[in-house]
Amino acid sequence: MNATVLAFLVLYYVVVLGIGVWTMRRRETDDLEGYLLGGREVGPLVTALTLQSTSMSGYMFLGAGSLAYTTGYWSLWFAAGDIGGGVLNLSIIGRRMRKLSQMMGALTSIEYLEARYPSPLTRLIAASLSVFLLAFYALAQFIAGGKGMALVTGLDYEWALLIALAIITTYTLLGGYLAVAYTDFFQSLIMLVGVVWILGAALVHVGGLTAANHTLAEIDPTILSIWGTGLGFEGQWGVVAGAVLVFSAGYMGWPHVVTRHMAMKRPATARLAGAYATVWNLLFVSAPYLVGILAILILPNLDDPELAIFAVAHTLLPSAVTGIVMAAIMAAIMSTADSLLLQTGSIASRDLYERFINPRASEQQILRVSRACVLVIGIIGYLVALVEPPAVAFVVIFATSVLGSAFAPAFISAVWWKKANTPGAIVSMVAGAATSVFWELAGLAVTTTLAPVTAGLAASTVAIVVVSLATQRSSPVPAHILAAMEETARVGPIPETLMATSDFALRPEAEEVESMLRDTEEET
Amino acid sequence: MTSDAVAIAGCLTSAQAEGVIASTSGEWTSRARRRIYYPYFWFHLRYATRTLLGKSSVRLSCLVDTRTGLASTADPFDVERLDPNAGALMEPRLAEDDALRIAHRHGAYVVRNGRKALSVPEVTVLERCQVYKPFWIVDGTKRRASTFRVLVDGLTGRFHVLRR
Repeated sequence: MNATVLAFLVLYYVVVLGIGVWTMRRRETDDLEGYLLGGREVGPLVTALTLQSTSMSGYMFLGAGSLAYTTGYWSLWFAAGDIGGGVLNLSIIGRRMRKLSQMMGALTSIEYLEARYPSPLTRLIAASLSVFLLAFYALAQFIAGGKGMALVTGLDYEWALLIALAIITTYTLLGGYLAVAYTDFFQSLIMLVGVVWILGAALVHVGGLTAANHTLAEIDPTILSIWGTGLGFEGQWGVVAGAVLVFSAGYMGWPHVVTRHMAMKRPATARLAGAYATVWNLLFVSAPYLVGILAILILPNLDDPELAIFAVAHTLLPSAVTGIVMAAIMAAIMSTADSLLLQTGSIASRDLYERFINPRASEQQILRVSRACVLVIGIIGYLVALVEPPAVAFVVIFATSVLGSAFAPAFISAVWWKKANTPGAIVSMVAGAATSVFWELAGLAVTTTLAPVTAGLAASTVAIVVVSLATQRSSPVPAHILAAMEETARVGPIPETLMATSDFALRPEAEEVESMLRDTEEET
Repeated sequence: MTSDAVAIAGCLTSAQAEGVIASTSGEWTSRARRRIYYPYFWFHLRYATRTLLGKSSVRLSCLVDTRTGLASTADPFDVERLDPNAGALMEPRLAEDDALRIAHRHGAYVVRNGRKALSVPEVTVLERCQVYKPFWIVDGTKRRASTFRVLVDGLTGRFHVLRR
């Protein structure tokens, strides 16, 4: 890799650091609440792009390209689910979950699950599953970072992996970026520019999409098929459903993404942010897959399909632009990796250590547990990525499948189904996770033509419905939860516009005032 | 009510509160019935965190609802001495130490997630006090047949429909 590429990559990090320093110093005081605390000054555009840069990981540049290179147009099923995933998530659970979590005083997605399905077992299972799966997901970022670093620096993979891992864990432990909202915003723009640039160059190189499709058809017509290269998935609608579901329904099971929805300022922000996120997705999501497909023509004999996008950039683009693309890739990896490590450390320390092991833990003790968790993940991740690195696409799809299977029905039922109760949610989480893991390990996707996420989601959905209905008498949903869910339906004949503009954030105070007024009326 | 009690300054007048509801309820007639002062503990905290470029600190204003224990960040505000005849005071149910613990936790969560950094901030309490926030209770009526009741935030004009 030449010096120009490296120079642009370094320039990228200098700009990111510069944004942080500029934002820190542009005010005379240390009062940075506006953008830092709750996003009061951060509009929907920045909110949306921040979300997207966190959600779109190194998978988009390594996994997506590799899937497309090896399976052809079939890989676009994943893109279809991914494009709709954000809006689906926002519209199905986003706004309602935002309301309920505030009413119940829950800060994290795990706390929220325990508040909605009251039982220590809910938190124990949800937190344990999250820690394991998010750590697994972080592994994919380490591998992607290692491969990217190896390509940029020319170092051996072992050393590049060590450097990438050291950078990710060190800046997470020492303080991370200084101004997250704006650096994430900048990163999302770089990601978009990088991927669109490389797609444009690839299209020009092959003479346009139509010409490329003709050439691909001459090589192997099944590359253009919706059933994959060699018609490997012909008629397997269960597998196709899984490909679409994994990044749409599966998205609803990611604790680090769901938590962000809970933190949105108000529903109006969510609506507009959803629109911006969709536009960004339309521009960004399908591009890596298309580049992967075009790479079949541009670089037909790649040893490692995961490097398809890197290699196309290296082959077609001038060094300076390659540097920008490399920066985009590293941006995707870094912005996801630090979120994952932060979430995993927080869940391990708050939801497991403080909740079950040491309820009187000080902030220092909690921090130590969080840091130890990050270090352990880093060490194990390094060893796994060194000894037998799994494919990035496999790791991300597997982790997302299990997370989605375990949590999506519980999160959706929490806001939409009043009969969803604690036993139902607990059995659903266990059944969903166990089914998708078993499906993957036993290779049942091949024999049953059902993807692990399809089977897992079916199992967890059936479980929450059947068990909740069967245990309504022994475990009724607590009255305060039902009241919160019925909030908009319970009031009398009042103007519709008044209801529509009522501010749910005032509900806790409203309940207290209602209670006081009732007491006063009874006394008089 | 003690003469030391303070409230967040800048309360809407009864006419303004009625106007907020009237503007969104069409033909309904609105009337402000009474003013209520809702109790919070307010903490002005400084969170110092270690970053790649050394220490940086952030000031955070946090209101803890002393009846439900819920915490939220708050914009800067001024306070004024409470007029004993201005409205009914609700009794707090939370001790100040408990409220401070809630504020610490809420603030640490917000700062840690805002910075995306796994570091425990050092917290300094800059100021603290019990403060009341004014609310108006506004009734809406239509041809005497039906009524509704709304709680109006006395500072922002945001409102929430109450159960009768």
